[in-house]
Amino acid sequence: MNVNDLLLWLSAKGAGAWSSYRAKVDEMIRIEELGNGNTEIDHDEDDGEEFPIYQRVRLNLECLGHVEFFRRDFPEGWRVVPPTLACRSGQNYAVGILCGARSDGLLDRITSYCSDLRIAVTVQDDCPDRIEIAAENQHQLQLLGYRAGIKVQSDAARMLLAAIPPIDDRQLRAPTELPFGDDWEVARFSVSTFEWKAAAADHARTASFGLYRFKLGYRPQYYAKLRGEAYKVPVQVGKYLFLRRARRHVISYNPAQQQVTMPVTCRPPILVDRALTLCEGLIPRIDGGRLTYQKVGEADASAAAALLRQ
Amino acid sequence: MALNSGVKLFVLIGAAFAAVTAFWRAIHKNKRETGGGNPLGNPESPSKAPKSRLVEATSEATVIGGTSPPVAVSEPTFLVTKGEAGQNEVTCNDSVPLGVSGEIGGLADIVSPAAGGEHIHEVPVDQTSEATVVAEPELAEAVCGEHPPDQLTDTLLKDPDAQSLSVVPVEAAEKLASLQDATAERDTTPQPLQLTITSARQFSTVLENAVEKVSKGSHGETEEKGAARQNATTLPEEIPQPVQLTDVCDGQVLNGIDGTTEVEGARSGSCSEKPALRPVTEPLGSEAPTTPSTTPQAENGVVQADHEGDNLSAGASARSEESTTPERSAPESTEVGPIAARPSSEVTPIHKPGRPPKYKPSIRVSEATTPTLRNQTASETDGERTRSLGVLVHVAFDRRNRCRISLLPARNEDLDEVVRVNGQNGVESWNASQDEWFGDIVPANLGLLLEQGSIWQSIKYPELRWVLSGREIYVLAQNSTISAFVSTSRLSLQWDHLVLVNKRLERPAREALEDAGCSNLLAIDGEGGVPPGWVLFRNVRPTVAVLHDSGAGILNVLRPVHDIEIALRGGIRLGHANWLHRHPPQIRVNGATEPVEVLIDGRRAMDDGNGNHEVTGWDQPGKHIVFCCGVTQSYSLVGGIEDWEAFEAFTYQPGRRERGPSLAICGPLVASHNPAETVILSPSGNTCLLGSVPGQIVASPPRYEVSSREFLAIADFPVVWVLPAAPLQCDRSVAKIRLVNPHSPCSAPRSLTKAAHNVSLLWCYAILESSYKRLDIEPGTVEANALWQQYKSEAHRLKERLR
Repeated sequence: MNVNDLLLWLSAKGAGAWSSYRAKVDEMIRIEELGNGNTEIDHDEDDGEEFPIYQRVRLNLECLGHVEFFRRDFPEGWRVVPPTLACRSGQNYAVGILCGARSDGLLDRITSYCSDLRIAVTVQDDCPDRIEIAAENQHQLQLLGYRAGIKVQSDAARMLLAAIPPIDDRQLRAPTELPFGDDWEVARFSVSTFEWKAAAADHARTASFGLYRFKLGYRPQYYAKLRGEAYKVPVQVGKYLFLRRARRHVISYNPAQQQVTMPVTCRPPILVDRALTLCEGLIPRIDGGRLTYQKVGEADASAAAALLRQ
Repeated sequence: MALNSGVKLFVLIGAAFAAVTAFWRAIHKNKRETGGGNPLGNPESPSKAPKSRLVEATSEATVIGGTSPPVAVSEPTFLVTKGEAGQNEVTCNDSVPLGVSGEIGGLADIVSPAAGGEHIHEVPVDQTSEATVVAEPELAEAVCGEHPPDQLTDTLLKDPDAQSLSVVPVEAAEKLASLQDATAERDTTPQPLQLTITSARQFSTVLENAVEKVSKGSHGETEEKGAARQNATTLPEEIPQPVQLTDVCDGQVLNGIDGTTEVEGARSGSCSEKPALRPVTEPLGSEAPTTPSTTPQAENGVVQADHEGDNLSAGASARSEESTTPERSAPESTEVGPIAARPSSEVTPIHKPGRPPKYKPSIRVSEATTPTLRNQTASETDGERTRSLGVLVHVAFDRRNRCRISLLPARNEDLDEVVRVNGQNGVESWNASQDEWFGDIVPANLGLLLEQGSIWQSIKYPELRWVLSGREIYVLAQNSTISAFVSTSRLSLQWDHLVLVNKRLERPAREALEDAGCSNLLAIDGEGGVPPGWVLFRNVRPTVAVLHDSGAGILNVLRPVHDIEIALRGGIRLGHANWLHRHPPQIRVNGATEPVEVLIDGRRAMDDGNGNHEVTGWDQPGKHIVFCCGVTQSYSLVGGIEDWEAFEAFTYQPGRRERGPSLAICGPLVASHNPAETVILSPSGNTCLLGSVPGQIVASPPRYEVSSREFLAIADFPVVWVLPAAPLQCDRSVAKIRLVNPHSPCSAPRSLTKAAHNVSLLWCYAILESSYKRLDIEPGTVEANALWQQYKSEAHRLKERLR
């Protein structure tokens, strides 16, 4: 399907419900594309079932900073991010990745004001095209943003990594009670195999430590038991929390190639994922069961590892 | 002689009449003995009943000549009691033993052959209206004192046919009496009266009385009364007869067009000011009597029905509008207000959905010019203000080529996001999937529903329902509003389809598809996800038009005809017929086997070679209309949102041991809640932030306990420099002076408050101590060093001045 058209539609609507997004994906997808999904992807939410395309596109749109889903003000919907140049800069260069909303008028303005800049458009699967604008310094990008009506975020990846709390921060987990009843399908995360293993609900309630998944229907819920207390956590935060407790290091960095890799099932939390993705502007490559983020600087990699307590 | 002959003739006539009367009496007695009994179940003799007054309505004939043989006739005994509600209850007990009557003494007994040799006392009988009741005159007077002459002389009270009354239960007799009362008082109290008819006999009695009242208007004309009774009693008693709603208005009862009874004058509105009778009917043989008090009253001329839909009461004006057919007495026939007018908090009973309709394909033959039954039904539905939405069949394939068949209820944008419906499988909740559709539903008995159809009725709005018309063949095609295939009316030439066929028609369907040029058919049965008893054909792409045949029935849907359809595909559709400007739909004409003229906004469109039609201005903003061969389709091109605002998708506070403002993240944007605050990246050691104005200095520690090279620093002024917190104690090889935003230093004001004086001194000391430590400046450009020298000079001057 043409995710560029989907992003144009999302931008034209501004915000909406999850059902409208999903229906639009259904409408825009071509029938022959239904079987071309990437099966090698994190199956946390569907546990072995194929990952639907609307979920893949949703994750990609979130990672690339185009659209936010399921946030506090719209827990069952989405909202498009204002157009923003996510910049990264070096000594003699500055590069901006166009994030957020897009419209034909906006793209026309960018093209008209970028006569002295280089624009590169890269096509990628299940994602909008990457629009990368290269300049000699960030000042040129800020000037472009001012003219075209685009927000500019300097050192976007580093700023994101510096703004978010580490995985063991209390803001990322909420004290709660485990679900009541025996009709839940309960599983426990194994830090050794990175798999979910079936467990008894009573065992989860009496356990003092562990990451548990309670599933009833199609939407799972994740709970961390720490010192006997139950906390509701995002699944990726919970995984890294218990990987740290088990002193397992799953992230590796190759400074020569500027690559950060990790197991697919240990995909980082959304904002860390977004920061690492915006280093290059392309979604991470999945190869051999591992996620690979490209063009990640050493400082960014170390910051991400520090946030994930790796 | 003549006189003697006349006397003999008269005696003969009298004897004949007595014989007939005895014959009738014997028959009646025989019936009573063989199981008739007293249907009221009152074993006591009427004379023993408390507070009852026995009226022996025996008549005494005027004896002409005095020589006629006396004939004793025991007339039926009517028991008039006071009911609980104060109305008169009339019962009949004709089991008075013969010879009890006081008028029998002294009269000769005769033997009637018809009565089986039973002796019947002869009494004189007067058939005239002037006849007076001579037996028990005091009781008769009492009765006459309570009842107006019209009532006492009314048909029921004078009716000697006891059987016609004896089978009427007490409640029915009460209503009959009420009918008489109402009929007698209708000129003074124009109140609607309800009447419940529980049997055909009761109906015949009511009808008889009403006709009698209408036709005569006076009492005592027994010949017409007898004729009317005879007509009325021709209804069989045991065979259930469809009793129609009967309207009695102004005493005139007429038969309706379709055999039903309707009121003359009611349709013309003449009875709007008259008291109206509206008997409520039940099917014959129904054991449950209808209680008038439970019948809803008509208000404002609108018919209201109870939850069972059996009882109806109507105002006069309502009757003039509604039909009297039995179907119209069903709940669907009640007149209801529009959906928007119904309060949402109203508790609406769950209505049982009706029988699902059978699909009737549109057969396009030349002689098919008359409107179909479906159209007639539609107009009737309009009159009932019932809204029907469709339920389509949705077929999608997964990557393993296993199909998933579901039902797709249609939706309007004015419907709720979640609706509760009552269908064949009970109450269900449907969630909206998009503007046009609710989410897919996969009932367990899908195969049965596909064949027989189904109706889902909204619980909140009973007049709203979803209909799946049952059929043996479903044709599915791609739809512009949803992916995969959804059911459509028939095959279209040169388009990909799926055909879902009941296995009974698999062979003729395959032959029909092959006739339509579908060569590479692929049949999928139950193992591929198709419901049992059905088979799904893939690769259905008809290429040959086939004429319709009236005798082919449902198979005509597999016969593609030259059918013009304007298809708007592609583009970016924002909703319904609105497309995003610069992303218009492709305009194609389907079904045309030869070139046809396509007009867009009244101008002839050209084919671009791919089947898409375009004309100058077709892609400009605004509404456009496409016309081709009598078919019109419109679309609009509109602009989308262009002003997007940032919002707080994520909000984080500083760490537990730190203080500071919270930060918001939106996409790649990181900002503080306060727009005046500056958020910068600072090296982990440089926690002192300086502005261009003396006194603009703040210490911003790291927000979280993370060992990183940089941290997020926040200041409420434009930051120019970030310095180590303690320059004199820092490692000179590591710590640096970092330029954030080049800006020349500003001079301090002449007069300073004490607080401003202190922070200005701090500003000066931070610069001078960093300079004293000879920390490197980053970036190490000439401009940065020159700017630092300016700040250093300003700090010197200000420090000397503030001392």
